[in-house]
Amino acid sequence: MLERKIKVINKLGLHARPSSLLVKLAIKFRSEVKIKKDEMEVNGKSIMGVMMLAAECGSDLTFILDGVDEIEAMEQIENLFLSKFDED
Amino acid sequence: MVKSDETKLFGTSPKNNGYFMEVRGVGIIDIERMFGIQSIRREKMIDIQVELMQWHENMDYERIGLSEKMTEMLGIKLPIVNIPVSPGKTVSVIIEVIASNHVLKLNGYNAGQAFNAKLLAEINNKTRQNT
Repeated sequence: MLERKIKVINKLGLHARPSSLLVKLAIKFRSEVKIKKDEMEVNGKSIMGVMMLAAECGSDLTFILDGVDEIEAMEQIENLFLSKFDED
Repeated sequence: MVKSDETKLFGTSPKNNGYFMEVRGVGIIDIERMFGIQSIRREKMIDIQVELMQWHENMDYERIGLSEKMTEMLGIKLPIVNIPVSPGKTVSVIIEVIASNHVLKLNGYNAGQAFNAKLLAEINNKTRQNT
């Protein structure tokens, strides 16, 4: 199991488009992807779940990955956030 | 399928032998006899193309519906929706949903955009509270 905090750094936060990019990436991996924000915990492979977080710019998300490809998955998810989802 | 003028496409049913259809496992059924005159059409305008495809785990499917994919038939552009089909999915219900959603879009309402507008407002609100 792998746990890491990732900060939202794109200006508009996790709205529909970034959320769909995140989910599309997450479902490529076999690992379970959980995302925690404050008291909320959602499935990183569910688009409605991810959007429910309404994660704003500057907020911290805790990613909990569990599975055979968790290391690679975490790396790619982190890179996606760092790329600001090609937005700003 | 025919083009009526430069903007519209029409689909027509085979003219020869009525409204029969084959249902695999059942055989030939008569739609007109079974469901009545209201359930048949000689001709119908085509507004949207629905492509049913086999479900692939790693394929990218539309998740929100912010953008609309277009295709072209006989030189006329129309929206296309790709639907992955898996056992247990009621395709007829989904196609009815696609049709209703298309009517909503024609009336200027896009559910994906409406949802995203609410989401952006919520995110915006949080950002303002933080600063």
